Amino acid sequence: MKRSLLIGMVVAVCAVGVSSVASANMLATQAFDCKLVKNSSPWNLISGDQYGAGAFTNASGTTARGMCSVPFQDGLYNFQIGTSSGVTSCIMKATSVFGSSSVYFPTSSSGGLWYFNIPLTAGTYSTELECVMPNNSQIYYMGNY
Amino acid sequence: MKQPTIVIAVAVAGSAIAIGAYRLGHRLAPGSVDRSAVAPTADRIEPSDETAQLAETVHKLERRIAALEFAQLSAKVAAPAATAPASHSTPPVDPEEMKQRMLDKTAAVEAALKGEARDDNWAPVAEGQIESAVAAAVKDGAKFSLQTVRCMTSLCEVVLAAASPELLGGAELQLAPQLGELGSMDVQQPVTTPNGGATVAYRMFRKGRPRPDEGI
Repeated sequence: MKRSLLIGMVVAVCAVGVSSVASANMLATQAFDCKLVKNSSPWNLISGDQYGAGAFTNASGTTARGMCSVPFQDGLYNFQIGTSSGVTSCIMKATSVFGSSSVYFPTSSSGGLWYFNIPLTAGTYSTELECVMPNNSQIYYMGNY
Repeated sequence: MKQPTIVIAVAVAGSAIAIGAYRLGHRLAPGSVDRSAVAPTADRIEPSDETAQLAETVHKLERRIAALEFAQLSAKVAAPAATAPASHSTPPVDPEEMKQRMLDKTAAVEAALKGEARDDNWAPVAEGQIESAVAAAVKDGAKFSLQTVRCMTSLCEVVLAAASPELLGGAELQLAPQLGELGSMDVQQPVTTPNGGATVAYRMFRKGRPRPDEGI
């Protein structure tokens, strides 16, 4: 038991060290500025959006669209989005300060992880994540690196 | 006894010996602390008061260190504030330059659309995907239709039509799951037609290829 405890402590210390090295230059945020809209036009806001335990949840009772602001850093073009596995599709939308908008499809996705590559200049675009969320599905975090 | 227990016991014993040696050393060498800085009468105090005197000295030193740390921190905070007006005088992004860059990007995309040759292997596949994506969205309840689709080598031009502009917003996410050949798209502002309907034009870009406006 004591040996397990010691091994656990050593592993934890190593994990913290590795994660702090791996997270250099990565900006990761929980889903913090999200809204829920209908999944068909007109895409009106609906109730049932919930935050809890660092996740944004669709608790509307039906499939809906979750939209979250995504912060990003200048010169870092890769994004990783974490969702529950039930989320069926996600895109990233970039809107320039002049109103033009571009939509980016995932470069790859697997088991609730969505990857995007978006070459944008920070400060001149705002970026938003849009996902189709079945009832009770979640968006966990957005990472830019 | 198990090995981890031995290690912990040795560590505890070592700590106890070290603490004992430290306290003994202080009793044997009272002059090791410069008590003149604490109080002129420090040499006359009783041994029983020595611990309290030592604690007082430590507190004084801690307060001095805290004051120095605070002063250092204040200086660091004040430094950027002093230079703030200079940084505000030169914005990181020049709006005019940014606007020009947007126009250049749009021009590069439009030039590719006009001048690019058609890739007869890829274009029909991409066009088929776009047609299927729109058909699937309509089947799922979308209220728009495909008006134009034309693919070249690195991009496609797509126009959707609907009875009103509101019916066109948000169409991208409905189309996305079907568009495996495409990596991104630019969305233009919806245009209202004379009969009250609306259209929206997309420039869709081939996945894995540089966009015509890349690097601008």
